[in-house]
This record gives sequence, C-alpha cells and structure tokens, in this order.
Amino acid sequence: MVDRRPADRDATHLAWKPLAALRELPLAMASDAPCELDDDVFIALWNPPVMIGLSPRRDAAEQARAHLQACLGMPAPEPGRTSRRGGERLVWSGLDQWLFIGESAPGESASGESADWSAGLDPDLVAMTDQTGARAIFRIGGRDAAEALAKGCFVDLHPRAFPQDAVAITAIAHIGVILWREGDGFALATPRSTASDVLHWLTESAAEFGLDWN
Amino acid sequence: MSGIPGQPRRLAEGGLIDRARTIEFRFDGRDYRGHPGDTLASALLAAGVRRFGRSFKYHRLRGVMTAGPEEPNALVTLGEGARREPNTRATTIALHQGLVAESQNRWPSLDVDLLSLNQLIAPFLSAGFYYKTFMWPRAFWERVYEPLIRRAAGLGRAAQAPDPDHYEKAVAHCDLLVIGAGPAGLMAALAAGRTGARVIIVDEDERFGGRLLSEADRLDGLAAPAWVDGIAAELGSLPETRLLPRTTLFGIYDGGVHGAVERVADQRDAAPAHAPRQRMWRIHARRTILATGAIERPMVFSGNDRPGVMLAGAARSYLTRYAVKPAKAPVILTSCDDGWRTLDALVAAKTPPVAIIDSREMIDPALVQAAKSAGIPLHTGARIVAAHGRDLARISIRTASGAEQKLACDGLFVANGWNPNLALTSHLGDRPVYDEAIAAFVPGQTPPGMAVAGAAAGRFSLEQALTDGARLGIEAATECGFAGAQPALPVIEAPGAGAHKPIWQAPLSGKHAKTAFVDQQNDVTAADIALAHREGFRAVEHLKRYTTLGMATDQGKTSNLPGLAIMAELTGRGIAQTGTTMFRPPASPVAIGALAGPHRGNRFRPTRRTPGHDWAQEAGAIFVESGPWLRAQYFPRDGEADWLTSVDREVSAVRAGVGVCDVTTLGKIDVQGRDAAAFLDFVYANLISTLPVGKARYGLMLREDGFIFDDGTVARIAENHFLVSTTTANAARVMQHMELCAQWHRPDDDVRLTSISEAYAQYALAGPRARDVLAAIVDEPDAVSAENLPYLGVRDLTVGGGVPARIFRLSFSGELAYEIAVPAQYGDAAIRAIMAAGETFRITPYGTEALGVMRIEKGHASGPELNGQTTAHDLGLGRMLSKKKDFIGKAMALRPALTAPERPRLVGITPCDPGQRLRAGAHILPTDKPASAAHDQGWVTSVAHSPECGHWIGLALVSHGPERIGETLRAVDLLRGEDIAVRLCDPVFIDKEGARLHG
Repeated sequence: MVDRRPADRDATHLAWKPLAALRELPLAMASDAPCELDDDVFIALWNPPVMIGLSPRRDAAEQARAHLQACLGMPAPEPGRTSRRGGERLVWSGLDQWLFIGESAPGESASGESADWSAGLDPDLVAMTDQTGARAIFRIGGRDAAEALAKGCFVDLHPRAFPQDAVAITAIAHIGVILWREGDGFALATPRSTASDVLHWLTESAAEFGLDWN
Repeated sequence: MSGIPGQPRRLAEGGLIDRARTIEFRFDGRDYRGHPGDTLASALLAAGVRRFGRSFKYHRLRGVMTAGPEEPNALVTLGEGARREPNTRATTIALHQGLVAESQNRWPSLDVDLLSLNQLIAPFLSAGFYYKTFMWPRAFWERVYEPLIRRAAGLGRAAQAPDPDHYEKAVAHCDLLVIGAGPAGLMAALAAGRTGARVIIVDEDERFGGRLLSEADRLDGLAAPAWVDGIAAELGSLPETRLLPRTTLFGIYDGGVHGAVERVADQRDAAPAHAPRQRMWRIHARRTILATGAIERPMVFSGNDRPGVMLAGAARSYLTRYAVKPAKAPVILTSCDDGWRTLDALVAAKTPPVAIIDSREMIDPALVQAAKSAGIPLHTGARIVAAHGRDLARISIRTASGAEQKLACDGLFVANGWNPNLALTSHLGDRPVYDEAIAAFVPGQTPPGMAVAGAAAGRFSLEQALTDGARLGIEAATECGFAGAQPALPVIEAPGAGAHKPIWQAPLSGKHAKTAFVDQQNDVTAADIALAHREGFRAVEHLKRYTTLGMATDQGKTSNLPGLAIMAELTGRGIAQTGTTMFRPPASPVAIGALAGPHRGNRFRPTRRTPGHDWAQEAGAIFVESGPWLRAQYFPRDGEADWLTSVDREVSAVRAGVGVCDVTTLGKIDVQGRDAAAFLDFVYANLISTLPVGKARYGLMLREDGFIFDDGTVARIAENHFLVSTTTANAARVMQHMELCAQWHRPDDDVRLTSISEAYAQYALAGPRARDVLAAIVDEPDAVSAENLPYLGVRDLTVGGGVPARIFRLSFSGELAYEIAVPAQYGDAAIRAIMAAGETFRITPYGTEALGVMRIEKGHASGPELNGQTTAHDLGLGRMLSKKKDFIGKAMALRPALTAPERPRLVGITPCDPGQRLRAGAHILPTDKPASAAHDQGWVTSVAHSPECGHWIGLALVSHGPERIGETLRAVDLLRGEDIAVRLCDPVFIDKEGARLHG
C-alpha cells in the first residue's frame, strides 16, 4: 500500500491532501539542516516523505541483510544502531526490525519506471509495511537538548553512552518512542496518535532553556 | 546590644548571612525580618521567638532542638490556601521574601492552647493507648473515639485544594554519585571529578559545606566556608560534574537507582523562568559515596523538650553560621569533648555560658583549664535531673557529691555524641551494626556500589572525613575506568574526634519519667518505653509499633538510639543485641506532587487521537476515553434533549440509510512470512489457513487457560501476508502475546509481526446505502460492486486519484457495511471525502454509543462479555474451537468445567413491560426467591435502547442460559433499587438471518 500517485495528480483530487501528525509547526525541514548551536534547545518537525517498516525473513537473515545493503546502499544496522546514506536512514526498531526513512516521495524514485522506492526489495526476503503516516518525528538540537530530553527519557544520552549512531527504543512520558542521534542533536519518533502529547511534553521540558522554534 | 531592629538576638557580625538585604516574613500573623542565608528557625530565633509549636499528643510547648532536617519539634505549616504545606521543618526552610508560616497543634493560639488539656489526661494517652483505651463500646471507636483522637492528636492539616504548583521529573546518569557535600563529600567529588569521571554531588542544604559551615575550623589557612567555596567553584568548573544543592536524596533502589528531590523554585526569592516548584531526580549511578555526616543525639531527662533545650551542635550552627544567640544565659550539658566546642563558639559570640556540666568524672585537663580561664563554673561528674519552666528557666542537677542544685538559665545546649546518618545504607535491606568504640550504629553491609565516608561511617573528625573522601573518590573513579591521583589534603586546624562517654540513663518511673521525652515528635517518653518493656513489646520493631517511637516526619533521626538504649538497659541485653529498626524510603518527606511530576490531570497518561479527531471535533462530537484513546461517543444536534435522543437518531439513520464511524483505534497487526498461516492457526482457536486470499474471517483468540483473550478479524492479503485486527483495549496485549508465540512457542516459524495500528486510519461505513457512498470515493467504482466485493471480501484499491485504500466488507452493525483503511496521513481527507460523497445519502456520523447499540441488537459479544472470565462455550462460540489443529488454550478450553451448561452463558433479555429500562450490572434471579447472593443466576452485561425494537434490550450471562429462552426472571439492581421482570431470549434481536449483511 505505497502511495503511487503521480506528482501532478488531477486537480479534482486535491482535497485528498496528506496531513502530517502535527501541523502547528513548519512542515519542511531538510533532514541534514545543521543545528543552530547558539540556541539552547530547538525543536523541529521532520516529515520524511516515506517511512517503511522492514523485517527480514527469519531463516535467511544474512541473505536479507546483504539484500538490504545492496538495495539501500547502507548496512542494516546492529541492534541499537542506525545507518545513513545521505538523507536516508535505516534505524533499528526492534528485534529483526528496521525503520527505513526515505528521502524521495513515492513516485519520484530515482530508480525510474516502477515509481516505487521498494523496487528491487524482495518481499519474500524482507517484509515491508508502510509506516509513513504512523509516526511524527521531532528533531531536537541545541546545547541543552539532552538536558531537556532527560526530563522524561530514562536513557543515558551522554556521548560516551549514546554515541553518534545510537538508537534506543524507550518510553517518554509513558509513550513508546524511538530516539536516535541525528546530526548534532536527536531525532524522536513517536506514534502519530501521541504526537501532540509529546510536543506538549517537549515544549514544557525545554521551556527553561529558552526553547526556540525552527 | 544588637544594632538590627526587630532582631534582638542577632550578632553584630559574623555568620553566613547577608545583613545588607532584609527579608520580610510572617509567622503566626506577626511580621518579622531576617536576611538571606537564614532559615525560618534562625530568623525567628534572632527575633527572640522561642516557641515554635505544640507537641503531637500532649500539646506541650516546643521550641527548636536542631538546626537541620532531623528537627522533631519546630514543625510549621508553610504557605496558605492551596499551597499550605504542613509539618515543614523550620530548620530547613530557606527564608524567602513573603514567606508565611504558622505554628501547629494549637487552638486558638500557641500561647493559649485549650487542647493542652490533653496533658491532664496524659495517663490515658500512654504507649499503646490506641489499642487499649478506646475499645469499648465497640461501635464508638469509628464514630466517636477515632475522630476525636485524630482532631486532638496528630500533626498539621493538609491543604484541601489541588496543588497549584507544577513539578517535573528528570533523569541523570553518572559514574559517581556523592551524597552530602560536607568535607568528605566535597573531597570525594573533587577526587573523582578531576579524573574526568561523571560525578553528581547532591546536598539538601542551600549551600555546600555541611558541618564546615557551623564550626570554626580552618583549612589551608582559610575559614572553613571560604575553603568550601573554593572547592565548590572548582567542582562547578568541571564539565562532567553536576552540583545539585537544595536536593534531598530520599531513597536508594535496586540497580544503582536513587531518588532525589530538588527544590527549584521552592523557598526562593527569584526563581528562574519556567522553574518548577520541585524537580524529582532519578539518578542512575555506577558508584555511590555516602557522605551524609552525623546527627547529634539528645539526652533523655525530665523537661528535655522545653523551649530553650537545644543540641549543642545546633547551638553552634546558630551562633557560627546564622549569627544568632539562641540564649542569653545558656548552660552546656555534655558527655563528650565535642560539646566543649560550644564553649569556644559562645565565647566568640561574647555570651559565655553560665555553667558547664560534664557528666564524666575524668576529663582532659586542658578542658578544665579552658573553663577556668573563661571563668565558667564547671561541674564534672554531674547529672541533669530536670529542666523547668514553660520556656526553660532553670535546671536541677545532681552534682558529683550527690547534692541537688538548681541553676537559672534560658538555654541548655546538650552534647551526647553523634550518630552516623546512615538511614540510606539500609534502604536495600542491609542492617546497621553497633560499634562499641563510638557507642553508635555504623553501616553494616552497604548497597552494591556504595562506600561510606567520614562521619557517616562513624569517623567523626575533619581529618578522617577529608581522608576518606579523597581515597574513596579516587577508588570509585578507578573502578569506573578513570585514572588520577588523590588530591592533596588541606592543612587543617580542627580538633580530633575527642573522648566520649554517652549518657543513656533516663528516669524510668515517677513523674520525671513521664516528662522525659525520647521521641519528641511523637511524644514518646521514657515511661512509655518502660511500659512497652513491662508489657512485652521488647523487640525493636515491636517497641516502635507499640510506642510510635521513631515514626512520623523525622523518622526517629534523633530518637531511635536513646529509645533502644533505654530498652537495652531494661532488658540487660546491651544495645548491640537489641539492634536497630530498619530505614525505608523516603528518608525525608516527599511531596506527592513531586512524585507525580507533570503527569497529573489530563496529563496523567498520554491521550491518543485518531487522524479523524479534528474532523470529529468540528462535527460536534462528544468524546469518551477508551483506554488512552479519545473516541467520538455521539454527535449531538441542536435541539436534542439528551444523549439517548442523539444515539437513537444515529442508529436509525444507519439502519435506514448510511452512517460512518471512526474505527481507527482497533489494533492492526501485519503478519508476513512463509509460516504466517500456520502461525495464525496456532494463535487463533478457529482455522485461518483455509482463508482464501482476498477474504476476511472472524477470529477468536484464547489464553493458555482456555478463556477468551480477544477477538477480531483476520484478512488474507496474499498467500503469506495477513492482516489481523484486535479490540481497541487489547491491541498492545495481543501484539505482545503474538510476539511471545512467535519468539518462544514457535521460534522456527518464519513469521514477522508489525504493528500498523498507527499507520492507517480506518472508517466503518454502514447501512443500506453504504455501497453507494463507497462507490463515490473509490477510483474504480466497479471494484466494490456486490459481485466484485462480496461479504467478507477484502480489496486493495485507490481513492482520491491514487491514494491507496484497503476495503474490507465487514459488518459489526449487521448492515451492509465496509471498513475503509487509508494511510494515516490521509485519515483526515478520507473522512471529509466520505462525508462529502455521502451528503446525497444523508450520511450520519455515529459514535461508540450507536456502535454499541447496533452490536447489542446483533448479539455480538464485546468488552462486557469478553471480560476474561468467559469461554467460547459461554458465548455460543463453542463451534469455533477447531478440532483439526492445535492452538493456544485448546487443552483447557475443552475441559468439562469450561463447557459446563450451568456456567453463565450468553442470552438476550427484554423487559416484560416494554416501558421499563434495563440496567447493565443488574443481577438475574428467579422470581420466587429472595434477592440474595445465594440465588444469583447471572448478570446483565450490556443494555441498549433499540429504536428498531422500540424498547430496551440487553445481553446477559445466565446459568444454563440458552436452555432457558422464554423463561421469566428478575433483573435486580440493588445499587439503583430496581427490580424488574425480564424474559430471556435469543441474543440476536434483529435480522436473525443476516439478510442485510449480504445485501
């Protein structure tokens, strides 16, 4: 169930506008945008055009990993780690699971004709589920980002304990989230239904650091 | 003498207060002034106030006994209205602008307290009085005695309004946590911090230094506070070291987890913006150094609770740190060299004591010389007999020669040695051990990763504290993988630990025993301990419960040891054999608000909203909580009198035309893999593997014990690809259960489970015109025709010119119905498109109430029937249990007890009088038997008003139910006082043939 609509779709269908989990914040923010280090804390929304859940076949795990490396150009990371290629990410998201975060909208895939990012991925080797709308992703950066997150996150975010490619599946404010290092800060993926609660918690937690919206 | 108006007892110079700034505050309705650096206690003492409150049971006047968190007496109510905080220790409250406090346990005022008549009935309030005095007549306990006792005895009153402040929580991780920032703690933090290890140092006080702030010691040629400031400044400059002053460490938990509360905006003049009142820290530490120092211990004698009697160390704190004279004409009462330090402090403050009483016969000649050169009368080998006066006015002593002598004084500074402050060491169950050499309990086994430094370990001198801290700090850092040298120890000018011979004796009978207080906070006297001994409550834990010794806010910080010592003397067993009670978290009181943090009110738990939430809100929905979800309950329209009117309209509109309902909250699990079909056969009670691609089936899941776990649908998307739906309530549990099955029961299956509950929005479109609406929104209308999408069919289509949509022809309402799933980001667009397309057909949005009515009309089991106590057999689903395969719960589900006909089984009920209303929860009873539990035959699980039937209908679980259709019984609701005649019927009330489904 991947969105295969052509980019210039019929004007009569414009009513079918996709809505991100949160709309109060500016939607567009390039995933590679550098953090403004002079801000104590900033929060931005990251609405990647595609997110896919990936799970390798159990009896062919190695083959599936090799396949992912070949198709996505980055290794399937070990538990607790992320991989990246340009603006794309492969985030470990559970036992034998990864979350692929794609850069291009479906239908604009560089791979051409099939207009499907997953072209080339063998569904028999790797189970795929469309997770594009399932999560809101916040980017949290700035000098006191870890300090603000520590108001709800139990994971040790010190660089010695949570290095550059680290990811944790944890709970913040009783909400199950995926948290990883992203650039100079962090990315926090939360279930869509809880996005406004997490945003509330984040703004409250970051208020003392002079939270700045990006 | 004092130059500061309103502060007659304030010293002209010295102390760690800022005389340049004045703080105004109120106590018991009077205005006072103090300075930054003061506590409420020191500022009141400076103003000449001696009376701080009245006691718990006897309402005796009490003053201030200590200068720290161990204070048993000076408990005040801080703040007003919703912010009133009872039982706050005046000795720890940082003075701040606008502070308002009141004394407690007195009416109408502190000086004139009518409840102090309790002292006259004191004979009835002795130890164990709760258990003895008020037992007869029995009924009087709850209604008369207990309320009376609670009003007369007890500490302050809690605020009645919700706490208006906000609180937050935070988590910190470190290599080393140092608890206490006295000399030992500071050295430990410095030693470890310099290695680059991550260090956190916490201290309850406003400023670091511990005992160094209260003594006249010198380090490296500096006055102690100046040396402390230098160390604190260096610690503050270390990037990996965090300083947490104003932070009380209240508990130690498994796995290196510590609980602490930081007073952020609390008791502060200028709080930082957005600062919470308090912040609760959860600190994860690999190593811990306990450097909590020691607590001075009192002596037990008659009148030892009178305002003016104070611990000697506390007197030095007031003199040295706060520049306050606690008394004009004090007497020093000591059993140790340490008490003599008070002489120096008093002399320095130019208020020499009127006498020194040292209970020891032989003391260091240097001390004798000191008294002589200061011209102070010294009584060695003398004992205190009693203290007299409402406020202390004189004392009686028995001199070494046996003569009784009276001394006039307004202050009595008592030194009887120190107890290591070791409560935190026993939070994980380790018991302190008695050290005869220092006559004190010291930490025994400590929690994993913890080392104890300085006075907390019974090593009382400054030199020992500094040495321990430096050594243990480096050791902890090394264990965590850091390297460094021990910091050089400062050159100190301070006395050593000194000699000590503690006084445990106390008057055990006669009038002196009844006013000799062991535990001042609980009004436990030496006589009470003697009574407990006589009545056999001799074990320490019994002693504590019987007398309340060591309970309440101070947790016996000053009273435990004197109590044990008296019991030890009575039993002749010695203190070591008597042992001590254990300490549990919290070591200090913690506000409930701090434990809750930000999770209160609507934020108690997360709220989940569906992608269609905004639309539903615009459509005027009333929402209901369904677990964490907010779901539209019904959509009232103008002029509708009540919810029932709205729900009747919604149901009728669906049955006559078409309606739409947001069903996004149902759990959705994607199942893929070569063994997916076999796996689902194992997880579900009915057969799934025979399901053709493009079809859906109802599925029933059991627990291992054979009872129903959850129900839902299973759709086959492709040969090796299924989609499972669960109930809203069990979504997460079903996922966990299936993961358990996949990882543990069937590890060799190739099956992969992914929750897609959040990835899709889903809407139920129901009613005779449902297909018309559906055809109007899908890109290929033909694909949803009756032929192309038959009942229980599933198809992947597109809507809106290419938006993927999965259409299930499923029905919960009993009507022609579909569920439409679209990616969550299109959930808002989808409901708006459905409503627009349905306008022609007068589409009606409906909520969970109408959904419930329609499923009851169809006899579908839901939450009230799937309550974890029902079996497939009970709900008439017995035939679903497949005989062709094994599945979870099979062995148990087929046992006779789970299929017994007398079990409560699902039936429908209708009121015999159609005008009567049914009530869920009513019990089913025979018409000719009394309404008692003995005749109970079942209960009503779900009820609804059915517009189509024209009366109330219900589902019930009734013993032998299906065999009794047509029988008349009673539905008795004792809560509402209703008792009506009902008839059992088939649970399917409308369209029994299911013709509408297939339309």
